[in-house]
Amino acid sequence: MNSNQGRRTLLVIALGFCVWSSLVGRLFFIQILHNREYCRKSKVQHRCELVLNARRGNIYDRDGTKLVFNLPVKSYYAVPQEIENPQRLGDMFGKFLNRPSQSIIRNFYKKGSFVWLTRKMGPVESELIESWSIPGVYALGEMERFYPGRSMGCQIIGFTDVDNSGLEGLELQFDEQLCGEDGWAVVQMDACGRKIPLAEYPREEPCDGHSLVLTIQATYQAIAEQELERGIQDTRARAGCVILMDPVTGEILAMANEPRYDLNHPGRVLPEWRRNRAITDMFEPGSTFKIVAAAAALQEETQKPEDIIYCEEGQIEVCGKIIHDVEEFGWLTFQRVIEKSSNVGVIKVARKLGEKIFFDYARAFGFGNLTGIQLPGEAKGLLAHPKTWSGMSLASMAIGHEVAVTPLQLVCAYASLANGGTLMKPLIVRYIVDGRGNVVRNFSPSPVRRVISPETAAVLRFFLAKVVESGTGKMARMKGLTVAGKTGTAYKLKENGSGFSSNKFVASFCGFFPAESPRLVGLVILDEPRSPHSGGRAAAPIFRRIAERILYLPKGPCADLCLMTSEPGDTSQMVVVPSLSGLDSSAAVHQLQQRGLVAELEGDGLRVYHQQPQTGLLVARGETVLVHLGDQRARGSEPSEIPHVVGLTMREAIRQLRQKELAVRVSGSGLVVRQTPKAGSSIGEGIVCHLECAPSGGGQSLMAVASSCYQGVSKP
Amino acid sequence: MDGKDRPDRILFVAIVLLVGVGIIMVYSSSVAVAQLRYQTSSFFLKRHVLRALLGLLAMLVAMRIDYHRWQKLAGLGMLVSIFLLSLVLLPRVGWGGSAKGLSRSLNLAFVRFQPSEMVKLVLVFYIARQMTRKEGQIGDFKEGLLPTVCVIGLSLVLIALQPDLGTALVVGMLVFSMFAVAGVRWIHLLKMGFLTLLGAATMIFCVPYCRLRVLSFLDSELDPIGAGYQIEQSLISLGSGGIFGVGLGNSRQKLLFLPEPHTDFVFSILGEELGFVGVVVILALFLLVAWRGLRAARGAADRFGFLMGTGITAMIFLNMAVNVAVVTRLCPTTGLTLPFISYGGSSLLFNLIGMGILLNISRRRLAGKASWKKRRGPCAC
Repeated sequence: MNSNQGRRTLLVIALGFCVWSSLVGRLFFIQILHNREYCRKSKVQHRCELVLNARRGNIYDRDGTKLVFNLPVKSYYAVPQEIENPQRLGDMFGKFLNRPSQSIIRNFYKKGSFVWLTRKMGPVESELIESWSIPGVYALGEMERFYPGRSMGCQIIGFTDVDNSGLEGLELQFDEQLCGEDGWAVVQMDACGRKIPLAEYPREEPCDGHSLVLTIQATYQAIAEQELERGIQDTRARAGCVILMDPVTGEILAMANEPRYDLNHPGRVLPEWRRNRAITDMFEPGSTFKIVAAAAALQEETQKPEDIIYCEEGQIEVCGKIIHDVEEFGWLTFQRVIEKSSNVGVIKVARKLGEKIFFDYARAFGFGNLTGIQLPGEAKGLLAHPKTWSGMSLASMAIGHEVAVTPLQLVCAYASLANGGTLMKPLIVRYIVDGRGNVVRNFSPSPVRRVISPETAAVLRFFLAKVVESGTGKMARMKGLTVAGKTGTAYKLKENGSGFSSNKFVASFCGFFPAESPRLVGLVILDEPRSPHSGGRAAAPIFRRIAERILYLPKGPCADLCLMTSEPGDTSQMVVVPSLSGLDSSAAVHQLQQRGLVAELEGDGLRVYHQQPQTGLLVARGETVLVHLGDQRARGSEPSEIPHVVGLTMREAIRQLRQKELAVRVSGSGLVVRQTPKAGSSIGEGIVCHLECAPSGGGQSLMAVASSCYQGVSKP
Repeated sequence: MDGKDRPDRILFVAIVLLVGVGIIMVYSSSVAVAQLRYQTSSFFLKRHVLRALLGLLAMLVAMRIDYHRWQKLAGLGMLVSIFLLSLVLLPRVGWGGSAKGLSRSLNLAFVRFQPSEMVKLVLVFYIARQMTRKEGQIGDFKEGLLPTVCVIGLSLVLIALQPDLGTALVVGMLVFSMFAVAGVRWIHLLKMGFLTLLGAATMIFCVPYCRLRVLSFLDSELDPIGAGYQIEQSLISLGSGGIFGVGLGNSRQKLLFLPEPHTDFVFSILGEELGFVGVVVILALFLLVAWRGLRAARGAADRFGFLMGTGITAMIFLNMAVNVAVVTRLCPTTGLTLPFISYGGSSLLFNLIGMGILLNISRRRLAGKASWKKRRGPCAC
């Protein structure tokens, strides 16, 4: 009996222990084996992470001008459960937002405890909304991107969405750096959805976004945009773009596209307008591409600058098709072929090079490849490999057809001529800086490759200077500064792809100045200009106007360029003497006053026939300009005097002397330091002016290489 | 009583520890609920501490009362129990404020009182007395068992009708374990077991509330916002605790996600805050209580003491086991509290009284000459 009782107790104990063990086992299963799964479930249901928004970085131009920054704004939301009178709230906001109140009220009956009413209200609107003091309506502080320049640089800068993440341009490309890292605070949520703040809960402070410092110069950008806009109006073009670049560093100083749009209201424009044409649009460059053949020929020494080429009286047959020149040329020097932009001449030069070498040089100049600019959506362009070429291809390509380039590629190629033969990687963002202004990342100029030798580059610069001086690019000429460049007028391909359109063009001008030691490369492209339609007449004047305005600026990367046109000194107070020739007295006085100069009138004629100091000379503000008035007839009869050219650049001096039909002989290069015979002596038959020049800035020695070519200039 | 007649200290310490843990856990788990319902986070804590002190006092008193006295009270206690159980079923008297519309407690002037908690203890007395009296006739079903079984069956049915299947389950298992230990023939046990199961099955399929609970246990998708939700939340609590838990007071589930966090599901919060380690420590404490309880029972001076001790130990252990099984989804939701730890006056009070009796039994182990200790079986505890 008792042992029976003992056995039974033991059995009960054993059973109990089994139960106990299975409970422990079950807990092990839940708590340890399935721990992660339940942790996830737990987190999902009661962790409410409040996002602490990081402040998005600003964007500055190269001088620290703010192009983009944040404005504090308020967004309003409703908690439907707390709304006492949905109808009133709906009416108020409906009226305010100009929306039917029902569309607002409807949202209150949806699931959830959060309904946006309106977002990103400025201080005025906020005050109004808060004056209503409706229960259940709450404000949330947010930041809104503000673009003070409105449309300035819109395609470069881009914009953000309502949650401040980048959608276009630099805002998109550098979104990660700009947006920073949002912080978070964990707020405990109970089953009723209420947030319970607990001090010991983790909290991560937001890390504000970095700011971008661009290579863009805001004033240059504004000037480029204004002049482009004006040029487009004048030529009735569809669109256009301008790129200004520092050839030495590859920094882009301005990148303007037309049409523009207001970045503060990006939703209101066509997507097409948002495109950054300067990097996304490909076009057949036409004559501006001729530098490839020219550079290759000079570098490979298949042509010398002084070689003469027969231009077949304006037409050449290629694979049964005839390619024409605009004019009928006979024998031209290589330099004149470029100057006159002879298709026939360039085709002959290219043929002499051969397909392989031509292609290699086109590649070397960066065509058919991404430039690697820090902007989204860059196009590669089209540059077919010789294997796929037809018989026409080499000839077509030499004159800038059958290839498609982006404006940026073209400008980079010209920059490589300007800087002595090195292709630079274009830069648009110079630094990334943190909130305290420390440089986080420095994008320094980086050369891609050497394309041609400095000597070749110097010769090409001379060629291009001649284009502007006396060739197709005359409209880009400036007083006091030598400009080099090349025009391009390309027929557009028809929309259906069957050949070229007869009345649609892409006009372009790509140039740089000063030609001796270029400081700025610029490209102007007009899409479908109506009249004038040629690169020389439509695009080149825009280039000139931009350059002129830039040169008058007291600040900026090209500000010290004025030094090269006169003696060193305080340049901020210096002005360029305008050309008054042919103006009547009041207009002349007005012109001088505008520049802060004092006019002293002499003579009793109607129009200005002579002025002292000369046009293009840099003089101090407040200087007196002697203006001789006479009539047209009198001018011709009076014996001419040799103008004063000391202090002018060699190019300007030569130009002025040639106007007086004088022969010029030059020694040295740079600024004119001495002239013989002296200024003011009368011009007689057979007088040869000797100009002694000396370099005034760095880099001018390059020009000496090309000086032999200049000797030819002196021959009238 | 000589100097050696001291209550089992280990048992005492284990109980006090469990009650202490209970106070901490009730506070920790009830903060959010108290804040929500009564705007003061210590509402339940204050009441629980008061009841725990009252319970411990009752335990100390019971410890000093000779357990043989209970033998005389058993019959009367049983009568009162059955009366109270019937009272609960009356619609006016039964406290109907429960969220689930269940009536398990009585409003006695100023305290709510759950008779089923008392019934468990009284049943232990009653069975122990009956089994002691009918020691000789235990093999005879009609003479030895039938009267006892009838009384037990009645109270079981009354409990089940509340409906409180959890308590009914515990009581059923308690009765069977006591019968088994008392020496009832296996064949009788089997027959009764079969009948009970049949009754339980009928009950489950006839009462919609019970059916839902069982079905939702089998398929938690079935009642995702009711019992299924509760048990899912319980598992999330336990599961997110891991090995060492989220730390005392850091439970997130108690923030109104888990219903009844301080009563039936306090173990889940415990598992969440203290992790597997904490849970095993608590279970080990219960095991310790059970071991010391059975040890006391086996050392008891007489058969009544032995049966009482075993019964009370079984009661605590089974209560604990069913509660933990519920929160770990091993059995359907029952509404049973975790002894000593859960908030709940009746259960704490009667469990501690039971412990007091057990301690008293442990004290009397050497009192009788014919000690059970000398004649006990091969199992040495």
